[in-house]
Amino acid sequence: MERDQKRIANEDNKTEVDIQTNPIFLEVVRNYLITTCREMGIAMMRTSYSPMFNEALDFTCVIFDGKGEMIGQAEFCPAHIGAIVHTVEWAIKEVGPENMKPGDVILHNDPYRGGCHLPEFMVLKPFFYNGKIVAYTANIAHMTDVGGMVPACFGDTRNIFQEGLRLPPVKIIENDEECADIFRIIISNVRTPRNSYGDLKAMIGSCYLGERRLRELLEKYDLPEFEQCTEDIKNVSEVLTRKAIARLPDGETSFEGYLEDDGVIPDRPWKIKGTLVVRGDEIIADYTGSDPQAAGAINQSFGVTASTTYNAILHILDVDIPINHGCYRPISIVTEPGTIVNVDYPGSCVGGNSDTYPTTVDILLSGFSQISDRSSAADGGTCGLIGFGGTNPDTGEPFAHLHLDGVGWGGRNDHDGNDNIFVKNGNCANTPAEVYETRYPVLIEEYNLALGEGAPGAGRHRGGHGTRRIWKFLAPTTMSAHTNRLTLRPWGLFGGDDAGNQVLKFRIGESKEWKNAKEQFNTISLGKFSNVTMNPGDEMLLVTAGGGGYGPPLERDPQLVLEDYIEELLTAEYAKDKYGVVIDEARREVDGEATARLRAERREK
Amino acid sequence: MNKCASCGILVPCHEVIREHHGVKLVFCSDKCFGIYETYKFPKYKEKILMAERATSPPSE
Repeated sequence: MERDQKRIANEDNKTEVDIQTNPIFLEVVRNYLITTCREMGIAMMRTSYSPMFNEALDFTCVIFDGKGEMIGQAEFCPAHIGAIVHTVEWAIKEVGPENMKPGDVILHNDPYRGGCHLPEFMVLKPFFYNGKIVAYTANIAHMTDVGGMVPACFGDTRNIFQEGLRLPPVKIIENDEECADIFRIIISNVRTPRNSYGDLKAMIGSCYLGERRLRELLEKYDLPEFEQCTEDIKNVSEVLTRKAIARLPDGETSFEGYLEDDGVIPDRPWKIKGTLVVRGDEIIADYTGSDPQAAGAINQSFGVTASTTYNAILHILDVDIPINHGCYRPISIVTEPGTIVNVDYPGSCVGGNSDTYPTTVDILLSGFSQISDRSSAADGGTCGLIGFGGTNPDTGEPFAHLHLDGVGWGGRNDHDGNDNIFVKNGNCANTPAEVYETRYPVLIEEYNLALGEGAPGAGRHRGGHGTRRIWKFLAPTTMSAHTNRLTLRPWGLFGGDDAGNQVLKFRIGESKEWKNAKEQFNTISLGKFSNVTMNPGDEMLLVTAGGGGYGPPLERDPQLVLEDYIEELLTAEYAKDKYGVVIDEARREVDGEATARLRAERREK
Repeated sequence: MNKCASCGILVPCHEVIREHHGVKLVFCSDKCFGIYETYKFPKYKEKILMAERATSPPSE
């Protein structure tokens, strides 16, 4: 292949990079790497045992170059894609490339060592070519159970020991053979050994598949050509990211927001605060001013905080920028160890990656809203994490399952928020009712969009809808929760309304009354608690929150209000109250004159 | 184990050690040293110096 030398630069020529690779070849290789990651993901989905992977798709497959810098990823979970750069960097440094051999696979889940949280296992396979490491394939995936004090890991834990098994970077495969002792340690310490073993093998298998595809690529092209191309892939992304950042105004912008509680200290909100600094073509996210680390599991590891930062920034930059290591170069992070955004050992942090994360992203976006119109109002801000565990009466086998659900996303400058989409850290799917009822002793009695409680915030562009789900338990089940937005509401922006709260309630035995966790089980928190028992016939209701509204409701296009009315998402009365839109219900049309009069009256007030 | 004086990440090995305002500091990368030199120290100088005075051994 010819090498064309091109010089690409920022608009004011402050950053220049020589691109030596032919641009067509560069795009072919870049897309080959993305396709390989997608193929790894399909293999993972089809060979894994747990619904967490084959239904919810809570995993990410990534390719790194020989330096340990990310060169390929695909449409997986943003939380993983951001944190894995630190997880992999740590694993490579601690194990040492000189100690790796062909046929090795390394496993690592330690949040203090660049990881996300204990359930997120990361497997990393060095790819050797002509005797040297030229790339790594990696898979980071959320194992449903890693031992610890609650099935499926999420509750009101107070330190890392209560959360489960913590593994520093260790070889789990050596010379293409299982390291039996490591496997035995893992499956002896989890509630679902069969599923966990199968899931780990699926993760490892996906890395082997990625390696095969890289070998096929290098059998077609020279190694020096490939290495130069991957450098240029990163460099192009870096320059595009710098160009996009340079279009933001220079200066400092503050951000501040709260987690409603940590599950341990009653009624105490926790602050995430800091400053976004735009300096030319780089951004610094300075979290100085955030609270000290919490007693409960809401803390974020450094890897998680880095990931939230990349996530928020990439949300407001150009959508066409290819995501790889190059994007992260212009972004710097400042944190204090021992704070809620950089937890110190042995602080609990299992909830940080899953349920603090979306709130942190929303807080950053609220800061960016002062300098960019690409921000959005807050989303429902929780994964709705409910952990279940017990013994299946049909099979006699232990089960553990982690429930995730969609929320409403916040309204944006040009669009309503998405309905029932997982929060911004994941790209996960829900568990279908059919799978629930087949695999676990539950019935799903209801699954709808949330229209009353938890309703989205009104706005020129309204928030999206969360969901409403009712479970009926058919066997004794241990249940734990780690959720948010039960007291603090997802906020609106620029005059948009806040959305409604999340709701988590229980109807026990013969009672007809729904009660919250404090009323029913005497918990400290409405949404963070461990190991309550649900008996056959007991029911649980979860309503996830909608998204906040963007812009004043009185500015919403009346035709959009009418569309929502026709879709039965709101009533004519609500349309009049919130939006000042009068709907002729008999004709199913907007009464334009009455609407204009009503809105004029409201504005005068 | 040391923590980066700028970003706060744990640094397992291959530390970048630089001297600044008369003190040897550990960083995870030269990039973080640059952020410390041009942003963090100028902005939080008093707080940083106070913390260093509080943790330094008493003079004889």
